[in-house]
Amino acid sequence: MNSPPVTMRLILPRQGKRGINLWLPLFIIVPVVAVIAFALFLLLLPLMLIAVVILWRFGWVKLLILSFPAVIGCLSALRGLKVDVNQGRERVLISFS
Amino acid sequence: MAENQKRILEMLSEKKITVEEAEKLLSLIATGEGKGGTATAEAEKKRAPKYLRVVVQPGPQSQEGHPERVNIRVPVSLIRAGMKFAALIPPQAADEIQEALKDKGVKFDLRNIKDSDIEELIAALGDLEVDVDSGHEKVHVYTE
Repeated sequence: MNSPPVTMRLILPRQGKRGINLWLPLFIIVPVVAVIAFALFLLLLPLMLIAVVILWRFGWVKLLILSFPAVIGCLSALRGLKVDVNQGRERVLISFS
Repeated sequence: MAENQKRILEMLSEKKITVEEAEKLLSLIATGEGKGGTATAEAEKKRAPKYLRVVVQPGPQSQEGHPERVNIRVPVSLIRAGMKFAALIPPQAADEIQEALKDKGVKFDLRNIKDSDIEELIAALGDLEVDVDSGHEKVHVYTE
């Protein structure tokens, strides 16, 4: 498995204003988000179980369970992704490292 | 022991060649193997691309002002991970995709893609190089 991205750089233009320039330390944000997501998961567990029982026969639950590792795999493989579009003074940059 | 080395030693034991000649031949084989090994390693390295790059730059005839520049680098591991989603397409959606592809004249079934096919496809990406120069802009797609 790939090592997940550690930082994310984001540059977005804003009309008439100075663009957004962010450097996000994912190694800090991701654990915090993971804890919040897990807490939400525990809170919503009863509702989710009801949804699982209802949707089981349609095959969507199996698909959802199978897609989870694929999503994690995609997120882990983001390291090295760079999208840099430049036009004059406007620049859009999304970079994971 | 390699076949050639064995033959040289046999020729030496049969006194068909001298010790000096055998030494020279053995060293030549060793050098050849070293070069071959390096070449194989280089070829292996070339065959395994790490990133897919798409670069768009303004050409010599591009309009004055603010020409657009695009620089995209996609990790091959992300392509590999993304391709695995093809297996997760719901059957109903897969049928619709298949119909749409058929309408466009594409005879390709997404459901038939296996892991080995993905690996072959990614290995083949190593030789990919697309260069488009329209005058206004240059597009370069390659792997590194």
